[in-house]
Formats: sequence, structure tokens, C-alpha cells
Amino acid sequence: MTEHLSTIDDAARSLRAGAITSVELARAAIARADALDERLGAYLHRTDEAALAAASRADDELSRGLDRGVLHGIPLCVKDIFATADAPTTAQSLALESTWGARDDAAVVGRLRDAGAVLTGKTTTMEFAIGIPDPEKPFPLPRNPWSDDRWAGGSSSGTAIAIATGMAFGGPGTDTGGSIRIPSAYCGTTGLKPTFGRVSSEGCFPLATSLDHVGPMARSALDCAHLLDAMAGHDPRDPHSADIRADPVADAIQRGIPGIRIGVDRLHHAADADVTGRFDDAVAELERAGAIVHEISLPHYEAVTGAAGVTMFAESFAQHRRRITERWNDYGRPTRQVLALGALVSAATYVQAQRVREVGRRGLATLFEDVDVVACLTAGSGAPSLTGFDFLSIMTLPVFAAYWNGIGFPALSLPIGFDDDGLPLAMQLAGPAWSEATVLRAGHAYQQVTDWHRQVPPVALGSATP
Amino acid sequence: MTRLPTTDDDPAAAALRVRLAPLEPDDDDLRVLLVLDPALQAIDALLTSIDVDYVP
Repeated sequence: MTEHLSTIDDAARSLRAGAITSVELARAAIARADALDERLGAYLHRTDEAALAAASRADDELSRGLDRGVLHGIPLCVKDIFATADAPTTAQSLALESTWGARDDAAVVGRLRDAGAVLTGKTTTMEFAIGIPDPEKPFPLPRNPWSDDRWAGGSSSGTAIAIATGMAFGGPGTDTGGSIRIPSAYCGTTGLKPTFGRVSSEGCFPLATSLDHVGPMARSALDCAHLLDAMAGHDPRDPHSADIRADPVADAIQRGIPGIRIGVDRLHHAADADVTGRFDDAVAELERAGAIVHEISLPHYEAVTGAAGVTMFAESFAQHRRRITERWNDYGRPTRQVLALGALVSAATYVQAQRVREVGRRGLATLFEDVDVVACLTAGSGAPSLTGFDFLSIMTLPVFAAYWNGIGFPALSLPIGFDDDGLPLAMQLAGPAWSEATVLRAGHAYQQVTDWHRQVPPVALGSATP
Repeated sequence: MTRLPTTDDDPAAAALRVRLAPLEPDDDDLRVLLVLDPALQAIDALLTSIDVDYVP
């Protein structure tokens, strides 16, 4: 059986057709984790028994005609930065007090449970969603399922690994500088950073509050749309949650893209020749699907990316200032180094960064009068090697995600093929604020004519099935 | 026994320690931060070069 390696949309159809049960899906996900998790480091805490009980309830409800929607009975995992009522929350750190997550579900977790999702456990991250894999600390080291000597990307590492290998169909991630899109890109999965404020971050340990975005991760753009529809909506408990009406997106994304205007930015996304070749192929596919494509240049790209960087350093240091002053050695070395950078950012620099972000938004608003979607690379290479990987190397990786955090507009990362080493590559599709339906529509149209998102790492094909 | 050089021998490192106080980075931490501090200054210069006078 290969249902666990399909999409949420496919599995939901199979459930309703009686071809499979939620318990069978959950057992398959558990078997996959039994076979692969020790090697790949996806989970910090598994909730197998609770997942099977939730799956059994879902089967019972569906058999009685109580259908909570597409996510009902679907196994999902939760990044260990979100509080959950039935499992501890560590943020993968020895410095987080155990009392922090002892509470009800984070808002987004509660919404997924209400939608009938079956939660399989808490997945690995980088410490507080900002460190890097740290073998000196007593936590699993997330490894890339396509080549386990490579980084899985971060910080939503475990969720991307779990999706790629069938340990779960999807889950919520967080993205402050690319933490949904980078692991999605390196692991060959799909992830959406929505518009700032579209999904509540209540119950999620903060990193940099003006840049933090909660969003969906899954195998396909359509699955991300299903997840977003369950996760999004105003939440008065989150001061950044936007109180505006945002229509559901899953039904709206299936209309194709004839006439949609796509601006392609190559200027700010330097990459190896094999990577640019795959990107050229992807743009050509979008054009064949009916898009009108022309070259653009993202306004103030370097300045907005720099502004996002210093904002993240300053805000994350402010978040951790008391704790890191008292418990310096409890933090992983790379984490404390990046947090300490925030102590070196002046107030004037921080304020200037916020004004530059606004300049960038205004420039993009003008650009989006002429295009509906921007296409660009997510990263300029496949996943880097874990050998010799340190904080300095992560700071120089060719990744192109932080610009969209600084701006706050939606950006989707989706797979576009493989590099010469067989590692997944990805592009971003981004749009103006609240344009998730358009961005996902373009991604879905691309995935209707390609099957990169359905590729499965050999390690997952070779492991035990129930 | 010859003592390995530490950041205490470096005036720039000593100045950085002052800016980071009360954080207490060890020499390995400080070496990384010494590399990245100029990068932060370069970003600051880039940001300062952007005309933001019309932004409230």
C-alpha cells in the first residue's frame, strides 16, 4: 500500500470511497516512523496511541456521516514550537522551561484537531527555530531524506522530512526567514508562508514577532490550500492576527492560469547552471499552462533582505534577552551566537530597517500592478552537506526567502526537479498581500502538469510497509 | 607550555565583549561574532543609503 506517500487530497478521496480507513493511514505513518525516524531525525516526541485513537474516532464519525472536511482522519505532525495539550513542547532547547508548553493546544493545532486531523507527534526544529543542527545537544539531528549526509533545511526540519517519507501528510510550520520554504525546498515538498497575520501564532513560541508567519507544509499546493483553509482566520489572542475576511482558497485554486501574469526575477537569485536550467524549465511549464511571463526585478531586494536580517536578530534577542543572559551555556552554541548578534544591532538600525521594509512594500505594490505572481528560486543549490556545517556556513547559503518575510506577502515554495547530485530544487511563487488563492492556483497549475511533488526519496520506498 | 592566542589578546575582541555585556561569550563564540559584526555594519550602511524620508 502506498496511500501514506500520496497527497492529503488523494487520501481524503480514498477515505470517502471506502478504499482505506484513517486507522490504516495512521498505522502506515507509524510504521514509516518506526522504520526511518532513528535515521532521519524527524520526531522529538511521537503520540502513536493518541493518533490511533483519533483515527478510530475519525473512522467512526465518517461512517456515521459526520464529515469534518478534507483533513478529517488525515495524519499530520506538529513542529515542536507549537504548544500541544497531549505532548511536551521543548522548542528543541534545554533552555526552555518545561512549564512553557503545559497548556491547551496552540491556536493552529486546535483548529487542525477541530478539522478532524490525526496528530502523530512533535517534530524536530532548529533550537527556538533559529539555531542550526547541534550534535552537542541531546536532540535528534534532522537529516535530509534524499541524502542523509545533507541538511534537511530548517527550521521546520522534521515536518518536511516526515512529509517526504510518509510519516505524515503535512503539518503547520513557522517561517521567520524561510523556515517553511527552505526545508520544503531541500526535502522536495511544498510549503506556504502566508500573508503576515493570516494564520494565528498564538501558542507558538515567538522568534521575531514582526516576521513570524505560521503556514502549511505538505506534498502539494492543493494540500497546502486545504491546510490553510483549516488554519487561517482571525484570532483576537494574537495581536498580529488580521481581522479581515479571507475567503477559503482550496476551491478557488483549481481554475488554471490562462492569462495570469508572472514576473520572473533572475537578477537577485544567482545559482549554479543546473539549478537555473531547472528553473528555466519550470517557467516554461508555467508559460505552456497559459501564463504570460516576463522578466522583472524585485525592488530593493538586498536592502529588504538585510532589513529582515537585522529585524530578526534584534527581535529574537529581545525575546530571549533575560533567558540567555541567565542561561548562556544551556543554549546551543550556534543559537547563542545568532541571538547575540541582536545585541549588536542599534536602535537606529532597527528603526531604519522597519522603514526600508515599508519602502519595499510600496515598491512591490507598484510592481504588482503589472504582474499577478512573482516566480523566483527558493535556493540556489540543493541541500548543503552536514559535514563542517556551522553558523557561518548557514549565513552564507544561497537562499532567497527572507525578502518575503520582510515584506509580509505570501510566498509558496514547490519542487521543480533535481540538481546533478539528485537533490531536490525549488522555486517560489509570491504575490501581494492576501493573494494566497492566486499563488496557490499558480502552484497547483504547475503541479497538474509536473510530478516533482510526487517524487519519493528512495529511502522511503525501501522501508517496511504495514 | 605555550598559551594559545585568545580573543583577550585582540583589542577588537575586547571592545566587542564590552558591547555584548552582560552576555559572556567564550572565545569560540567571540571569534564568530567578530566575523559577523562587520557584516552587520555593512547591512546598516546599505539600509542607511535607502531614501526613507517619505516613510512615517
